[in-house]
Amino acid sequence: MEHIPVDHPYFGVFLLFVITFGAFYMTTVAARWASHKLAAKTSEKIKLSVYECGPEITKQPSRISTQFYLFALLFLLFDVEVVFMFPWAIDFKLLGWFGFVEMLTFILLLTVGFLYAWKKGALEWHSIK
Amino acid sequence: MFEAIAFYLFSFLTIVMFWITVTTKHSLYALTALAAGMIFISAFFFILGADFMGVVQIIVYSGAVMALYAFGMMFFDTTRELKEKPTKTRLVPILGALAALLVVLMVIAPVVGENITAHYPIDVAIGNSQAIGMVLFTKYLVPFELAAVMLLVAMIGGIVLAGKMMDEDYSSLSEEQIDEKEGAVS
Amino acid sequence: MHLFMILFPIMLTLIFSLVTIPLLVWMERRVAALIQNRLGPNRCNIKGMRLGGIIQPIADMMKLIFKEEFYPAHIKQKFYYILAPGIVFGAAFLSFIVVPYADDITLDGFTYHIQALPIELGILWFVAIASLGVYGIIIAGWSSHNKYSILGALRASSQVISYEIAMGLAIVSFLITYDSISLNTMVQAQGELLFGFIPAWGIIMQPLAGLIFIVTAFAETNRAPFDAPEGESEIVAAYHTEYSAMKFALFFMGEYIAMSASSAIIVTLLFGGYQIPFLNTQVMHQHINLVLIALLILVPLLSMGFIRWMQKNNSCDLSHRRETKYATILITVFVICFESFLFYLLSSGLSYEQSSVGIMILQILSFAFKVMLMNFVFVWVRWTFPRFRYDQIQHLGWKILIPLALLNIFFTAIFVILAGV
Repeated sequence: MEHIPVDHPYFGVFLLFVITFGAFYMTTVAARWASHKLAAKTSEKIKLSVYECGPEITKQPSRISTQFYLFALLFLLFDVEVVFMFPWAIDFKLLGWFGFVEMLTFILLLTVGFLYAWKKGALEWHSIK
Repeated sequence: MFEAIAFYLFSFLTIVMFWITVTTKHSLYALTALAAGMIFISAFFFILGADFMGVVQIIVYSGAVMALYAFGMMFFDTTRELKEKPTKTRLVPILGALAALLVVLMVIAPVVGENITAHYPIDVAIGNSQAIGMVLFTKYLVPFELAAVMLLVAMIGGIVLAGKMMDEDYSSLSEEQIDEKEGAVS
Repeated sequence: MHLFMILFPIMLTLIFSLVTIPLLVWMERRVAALIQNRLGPNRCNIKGMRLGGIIQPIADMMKLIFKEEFYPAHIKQKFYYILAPGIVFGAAFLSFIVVPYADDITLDGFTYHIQALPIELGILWFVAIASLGVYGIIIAGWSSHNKYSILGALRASSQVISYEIAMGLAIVSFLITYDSISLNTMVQAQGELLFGFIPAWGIIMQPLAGLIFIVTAFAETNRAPFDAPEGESEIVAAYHTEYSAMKFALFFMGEYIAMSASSAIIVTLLFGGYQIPFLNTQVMHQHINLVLIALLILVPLLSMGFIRWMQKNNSCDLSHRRETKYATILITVFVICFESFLFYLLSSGLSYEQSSVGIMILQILSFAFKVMLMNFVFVWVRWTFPRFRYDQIQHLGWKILIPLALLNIFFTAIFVILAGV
């Protein structure tokens, strides 16, 4: 009884993943079937066009503010920091002052970068001001 | 049995995903295949019982690194196919194959050479992340602090590179001035 | 039995995530009506049975299924276009599964976790999978080839990643407080009493981190006041502008599941999870007869109050009165059955295993109640606060929440060391 895959902790994930996938697939197929068979169809040309106003369709904007990229970059670095903090937090009571000072140095180093970004205006949203 | 099936399934999926990433000419396909491959890699960590590494793989690689790539991709039109003009069609695959062989040799040498044992075997009594914390904050203290320095350097470098025109305010400029600037940049 | 107990939490996950969707839709509309002093959906009925308008979401669902499904002509990557709502839906669904629904239960010598994914790193799993949901939004924005869509996708993903750091830092202070990463251990710790009379819930142990966590959870689900990504007054419907019929419904459902999952995690971390205040599992085991007697008194009182309330409010014409009559009979029959069952249990006495099953059911009900209450708070906030402007969102995330969370960790750490626990 112990070696069947049912006892594996990830069995639930697996099963739910299968259920999700199945449900998604089934809804897509069923919805397509239902709408093809039962829904009222109109063949207006304008319905199939892009949803926006104006006589001409504008192309997908290819110029995006660098601000978004910068946020993603900062997020990546801070995410790594947070990930380092998780095992530290769990072992915190074992590590005591030693771990505290250790993490303080780590955070202070990153805070320097954070303050630099702040000072440099990387956290402002420029185009609206 | 269950783990063997899972291992082969996920190896197959990972290889397929990375194959798509390398071979496709469409940047959107490459990005999504890479993200999916990263998620499938985390499955190996879960199979090995290294839960923490698996979750970190998803959070950092699939969540953060790929989000960065996604924003990078938005800078150009993703609908168009990328036109590559490879000049050295021989050299690159050969070098790639050699590098791959080297990595395989590096990994396989200790496995074949002697029976490897884990430095820090999984202890059932204490959790996976707890064990990682203990090792990281005692034995690997210096690399950990060096990682902070590295992150700091990366952060400052990124801001300097990406934010050259950070202190300019577009909304206070007139249309012509903006056009002028855009023309100057591109 | 063994198989059933393993499948049980998985079924609970399905119930909590899927069955609550129509309930939430109904709640959203009714609460909106309540707040704006109007009636809300109350006409839809099956043979005069309105059930307070709860039929309405079913009708909405039918409408969405039978809508014409079309693909706008400018969409080139149909695969991604179809996949995107699936990712949003699936990620929301999979982030739900780490929540413990009840305390560990021992039956026939096996200990079962009432948790669909009984791993230690539950909270990290939630963070990881919730952040994967962004991919659905990004892909939807891309494959739609619409400027509103891509702006919405950019806003959404940038907002989610900004708030994820503050969320992680808030979680770190919880980890220090509870000295564990397993969600179940955290909830068990919240069953204790602080100073002998306050339940040691997360919100009392860590008020600031709790507040930050709630705010970030709102931002992660793209709910108001953080719904600039789909701000309909600025960018139409953002990333689901080009979606119709069932594909739109999947986005919609994914959003509600994400809201439910966020409520579940908030309840688990901050409001004692499945714990009933002042009654943790051991106490309930010791006084199981008292618990039964309390139920014996409470259930008829509550149902009586409900029937009174219903009779007062649901009597404007004949069909309403008929509905009220049926509902009254149904509730009365249920209460009588339940009471006789309780009497039977009291007279025969409960074995240890029977009482643990009973406690499990009570805890699941308490959890469901708390989650619904938290969902109500989500809806309440949505209809109370105006939308943040986009730069304000980023300002709050980066310049206020992250420094606050770091300071909170700092003081928590010092306090924990000085207290010498």
